[in-house]
Amino acid sequence: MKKKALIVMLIAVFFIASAFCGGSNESSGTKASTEKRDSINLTLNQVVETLNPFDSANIVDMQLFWQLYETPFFLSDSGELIPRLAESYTVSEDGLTYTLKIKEGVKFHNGATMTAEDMAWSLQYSLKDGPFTKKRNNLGDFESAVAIDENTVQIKSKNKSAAFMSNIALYGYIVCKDEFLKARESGKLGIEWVPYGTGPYMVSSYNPDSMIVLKAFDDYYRGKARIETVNYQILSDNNTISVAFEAGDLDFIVVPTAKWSSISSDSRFNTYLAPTQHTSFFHVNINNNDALSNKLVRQAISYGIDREAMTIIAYDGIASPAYCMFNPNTVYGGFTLEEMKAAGITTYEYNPEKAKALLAEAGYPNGVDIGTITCINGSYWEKMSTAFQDNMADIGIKVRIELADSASCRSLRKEHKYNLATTGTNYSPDASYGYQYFRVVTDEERANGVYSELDLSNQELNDLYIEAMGETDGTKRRSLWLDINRIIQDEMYSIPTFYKAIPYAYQKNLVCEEINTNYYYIYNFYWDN
Amino acid sequence: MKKEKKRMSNFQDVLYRFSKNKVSLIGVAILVVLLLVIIFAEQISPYQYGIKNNVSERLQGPSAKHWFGTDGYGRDIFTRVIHGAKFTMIIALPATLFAQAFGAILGALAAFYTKYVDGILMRILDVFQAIPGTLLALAVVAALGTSLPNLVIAMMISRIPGAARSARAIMLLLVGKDDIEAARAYGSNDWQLITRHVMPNALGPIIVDLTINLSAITLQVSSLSYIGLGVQPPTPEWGVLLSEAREYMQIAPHTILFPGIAIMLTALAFNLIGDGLRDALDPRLRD
Repeated sequence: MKKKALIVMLIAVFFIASAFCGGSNESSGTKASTEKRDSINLTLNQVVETLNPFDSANIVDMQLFWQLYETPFFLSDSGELIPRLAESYTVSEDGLTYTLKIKEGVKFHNGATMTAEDMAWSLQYSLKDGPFTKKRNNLGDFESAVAIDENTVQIKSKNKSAAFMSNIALYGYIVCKDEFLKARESGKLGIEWVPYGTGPYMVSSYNPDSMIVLKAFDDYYRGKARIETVNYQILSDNNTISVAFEAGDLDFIVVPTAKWSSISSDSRFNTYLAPTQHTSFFHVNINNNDALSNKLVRQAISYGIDREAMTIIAYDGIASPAYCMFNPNTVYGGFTLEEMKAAGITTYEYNPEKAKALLAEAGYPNGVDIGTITCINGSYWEKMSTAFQDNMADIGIKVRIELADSASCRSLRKEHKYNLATTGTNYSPDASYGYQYFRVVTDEERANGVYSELDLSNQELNDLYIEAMGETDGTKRRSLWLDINRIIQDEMYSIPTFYKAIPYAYQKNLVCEEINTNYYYIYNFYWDN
Repeated sequence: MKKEKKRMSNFQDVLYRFSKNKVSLIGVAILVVLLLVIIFAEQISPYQYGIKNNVSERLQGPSAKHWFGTDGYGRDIFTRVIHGAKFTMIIALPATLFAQAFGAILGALAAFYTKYVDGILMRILDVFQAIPGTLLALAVVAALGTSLPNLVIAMMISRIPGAARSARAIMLLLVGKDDIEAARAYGSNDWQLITRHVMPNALGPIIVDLTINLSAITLQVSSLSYIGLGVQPPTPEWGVLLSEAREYMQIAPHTILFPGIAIMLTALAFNLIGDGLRDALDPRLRD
């Protein structure tokens, strides 16, 4: 009996090994079909937390928000504001009042017509009164929004800010006010209740653990979407996602980086490596570690990172090394390596010998223990940290990796309970997004819940930031960002590592007219048979 | 003198019957290889500890240079598997031994004091057993933090209830036996009865239970490391190896295959030895 069990086990091992070594099977490729399709199958890698756009900044939830809701303007990759629910806007001379003309005849999913009151209330709730502002640390300039007549909304800003309207374009979702308030009063807010938006799609069915189905909104003001039904399947495992895509069960995916090489060379699929405004970096806590409070040690760390190797290890080579805190695609604030060098800013290209010399100069000729690096487990951050740990060992710096889930990591950063922490951000709508990290938080602001993950006291940097954020002249603004970069690069409060790209793949006969740096809209997709 | 001779012959009998079980000997052989690998890990592999990255050699298949190929960091998988054996056993062995020892003590107390202690202990253990073992270990690690000693404590706590119940069942059978009653009649107190009469007789089944538990804990340690709550990178523990290999499963199957086989063979070895010991110790199979 036991012999039989042993034989069965060995046979099982053999078959598992054969299955793994079998390679790809072309014949099991995409499901060929001559019928014109009117549906699309996509995936979300986590369960959706909420469909209420005022209560989430989660990227998984936002993928649905992009299809269901709209804002007054659409922000293009180059920073241009394209009219959507607002037709136009004007700015007062002091730069503090914005007057928006709303687009007439726009319908909500319940059939009601959008009014200026809907827009004013939604903006006020989205950017000031609602729970969303607590999840974002960069919306402090918004003062108020009121409807001054049937078609006009007036918005006030606390400070002059060049990115003010861009922030509204990104986060100012408009919903049907009356229905929202009714639902809130009856306690129906939450996942099972979906506010009525104006987007090209509306929710058809919702099964929180497995599938969300959207259907095209018949009365969408820009014309009904060409794809009628959108099926979002919840799949968290990367292998399952790529297998389902290769079998034709999914039509459009963000490719797991490990699979990019094979999928991008497969003629059955279209692929697109979308640039982003994202930078991955290490936050350095200079306030609770003697070594890390020393600028020379931080500079040594930056010189000690082999960013080329790190992009290969952590992101399978489809990212580019970061030598500036702001991704070069960042509106106004991003600079290329060449631009940084031309401006005489230190870029910290890999130089372990210089790193050792800086460490010695800092008083650590025999190396130093800098504590822990906190990162999200099972993510590319973990690989980034492991590559970093190996680089640091080469220059005599000892660092331990502390893995935690993403919520714990966020909390540790917020409470400053870290030495180094892996993180990253999309500098969107522009480099002013980084103010939340590099700012000085006053005691009064701290008492009101404002925080900064870096918790710096560099007043010069803070003041430059405020000046840059308020400067509306593009040339002057860019010059100010260069000065900001000079300080950030010198101080190395945050150490940039790489700029990732988003690897998309979709079936051959699916046409994706436009995929933006940070978003995709199914409205721009259609089937070409 | 006569008693010692009898115990020796019993031991020899068990050993003889165990050695006749060929399948169990395969388990012993695997275990011996595992122990040799752990002891001579540094001499066997040319790549010290397998923690140095080498991006130019990442995801290479098995070759003469890298017997098990390389992982996503360009590290030698063979080196990581053999060093991983050490870290897995460093956690699994003490955790199992302590869990079994505590379990035996609790089981003995419950079996001996059936009036109140048994009821109280069993109800407390019921509470712990209502929580799945891995979940309990996970909660302990989450509370204490991730480190090797904490992992041993977590594994131990999650296994004590099962070990205590098994020990109680074994000892309840022994407590009612004539020789124990005779020893009590001759004036032995409870402590003497437990340590001199019950424990030695229960040792065989407890050892069998221990080997089976060792297999389960080996898998549990790997599970916790797999989800990031066990050994921290770059330490080469088998669960960590599986976790790191997960995303390369399709393009570089060797990265997941070899650590997987190592875990499977180790668990199999302990199970085979446990089965063999159980058969060898079973008086019903003596003839």
